[in-house]
Amino acid sequence: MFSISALDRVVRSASCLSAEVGNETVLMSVENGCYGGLDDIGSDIWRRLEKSVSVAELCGALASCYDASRDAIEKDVLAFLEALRQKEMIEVLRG
Amino acid sequence: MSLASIEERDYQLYGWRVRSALSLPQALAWDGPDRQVDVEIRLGEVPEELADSVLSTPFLQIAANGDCRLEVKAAARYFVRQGKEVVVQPANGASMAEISVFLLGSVIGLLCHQRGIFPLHASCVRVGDGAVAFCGPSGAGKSTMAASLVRRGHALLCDDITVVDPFAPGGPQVHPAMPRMRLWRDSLEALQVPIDPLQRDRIELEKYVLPAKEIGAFSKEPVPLRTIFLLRSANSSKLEGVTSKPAMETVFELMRQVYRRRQADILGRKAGLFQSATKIVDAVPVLSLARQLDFGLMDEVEARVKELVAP
Amino acid sequence: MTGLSLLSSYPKSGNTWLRAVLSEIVGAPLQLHRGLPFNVSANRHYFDELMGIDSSDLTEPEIDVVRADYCRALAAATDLPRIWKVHDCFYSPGQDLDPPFPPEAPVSVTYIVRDPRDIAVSLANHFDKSIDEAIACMQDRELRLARAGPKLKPQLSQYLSTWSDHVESWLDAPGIRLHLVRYEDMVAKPEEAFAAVLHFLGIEFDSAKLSQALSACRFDALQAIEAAEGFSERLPGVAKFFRRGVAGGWRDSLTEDQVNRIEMAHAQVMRRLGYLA
Repeated sequence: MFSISALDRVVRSASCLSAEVGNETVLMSVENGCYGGLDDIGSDIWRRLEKSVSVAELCGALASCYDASRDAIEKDVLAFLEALRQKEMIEVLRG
Repeated sequence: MSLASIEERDYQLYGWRVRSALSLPQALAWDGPDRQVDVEIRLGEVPEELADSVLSTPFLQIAANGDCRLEVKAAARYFVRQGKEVVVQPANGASMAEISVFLLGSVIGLLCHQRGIFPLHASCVRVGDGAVAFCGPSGAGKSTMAASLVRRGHALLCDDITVVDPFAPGGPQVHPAMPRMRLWRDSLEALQVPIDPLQRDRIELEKYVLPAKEIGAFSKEPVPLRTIFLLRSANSSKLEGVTSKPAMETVFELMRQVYRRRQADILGRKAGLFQSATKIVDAVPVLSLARQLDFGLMDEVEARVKELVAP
Repeated sequence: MTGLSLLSSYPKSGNTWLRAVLSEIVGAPLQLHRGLPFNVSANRHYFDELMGIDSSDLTEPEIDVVRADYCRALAAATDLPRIWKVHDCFYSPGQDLDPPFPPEAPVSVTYIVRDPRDIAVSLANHFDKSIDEAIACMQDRELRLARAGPKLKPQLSQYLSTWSDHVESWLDAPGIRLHLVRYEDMVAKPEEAFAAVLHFLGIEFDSAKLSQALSACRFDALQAIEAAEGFSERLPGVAKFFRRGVAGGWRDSLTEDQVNRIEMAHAQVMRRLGYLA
């Protein structure tokens, strides 16, 4: 499978349910029964995936909120998105 | 078929008004306001099998439209529809007790999932002004744990199946089931309850019906849920620490404690159960409690429970 | 429908040791007090979930009748493990019943055998019985594990029959893929014996990983963990699950008369397996 690039668009998968519990977000895929848990930064990213967004836009938005280099953010975000994709919790549309 | 009473009566079960043509002596009579009946149990013919079943086991069939048919050959056939209608066709020679075991167990589970509510495989007791639920697989000691707390002056709410309303206005709430428990001989002996006067639902099994009044009280009113314990048996003789986990693991664990979880999934309840479980975990601590079935530890367990339930 | 892999044996034949090693290989941390992966298929929880009924409200015959259906449901459940521990005899107690693991499920079986003279000593410890009682159990055609009684057991009642019947029922079971492993070989040449099982199960491993798993599951290591943390599969009132773990230990635990009784009762199968000349 291709790896996610900055040009791709990402969106929450319709079969993934999510709910906020305390300061965590809990995810469950209805399709495959996988569970996921997101900390506060992960939860912030998840909130931004409600509508489809390009990875570049997403990283740009995060760079303006978090004190880290754009490169570091992009690296972390891509790894995070990859993990979500493997559990079929997001859909990736080729950019 | 010899059934003493075909007269309909209204009962209260899990907050529902249940109208039944079968006598349900283990349940309390309905004494609430004259409102609509929630579930109706009547006698009638139940088909040999369901057409277009999406699940078929030797006991249970579920049709694509959500109708369920349960059969235990020695007891009865049960047809469960839309969360509000149960047709019972007793087997030849079945006793009322045998018929009611599965009616007040598996059928309740199916009704819950058809009605879209959240049944935990748990026994539940009122401690102070809050409810404490003990979840766990068969044999983990749910009923025994609850019984020993009832014996210590706390009121019984539910045995084996606990229905939680996660979206009640003041937070998750437990509706009382029936003023009885079902316990195996070894638990009754440990609780020092005289066994001779007790009835068995199935004569072949050493599982007895213990009316709550024999050991304590029953709470007729719904109570806010304060704590959920996940029981697991341990063979070390000390009470292990109560541990709490990240939300995701707790939600996952709680989903595993749903009574008849697989059938719920088939009945389209995956998303609904998830919403309920996350709501509950957000509001109520879920703790794991490893213990041996050792009554010497009950002082310690009770003290721990009281501490956790205190506001 | 994918197949089930069963790790089958008469009790006290090394099944738990095998599961401990497998759990190390597949990367599940060894937590004896929480229970090993590769649960026993007779666990009530899975039966109740898959059959949609509470087995604790069913009688033994009512459960026996549907064991084959339960196995088919287990095989069809894609979200459950493929590998299960089994102590049942291949045949059902009732003559006209399907075996509890019908070949069309379909199943592959790793069957572990152990010298019945060693089993007698270990079984006596496990069930907190005398050695004479253990020997009698091993000759009892009606023998069951987890029989219904005054206490609810976490497992369904499992029909075992005699040690000889148990062994032959699996070795001669029609229509299943079988890998036979001797406990004595697991002790004498563990690398070879365990590698053969892993190949049979199709579990990937390398020799370094296997050595590491074997050393983590050395008998004294398992004993130490059991002493420190307990073991969920030990029966109440019994001091140790992992007792001695040797082959041929019967020589200094059994009387001549006891040895004779075992050899008389099981001569044919013992010869078949090379335990008797």
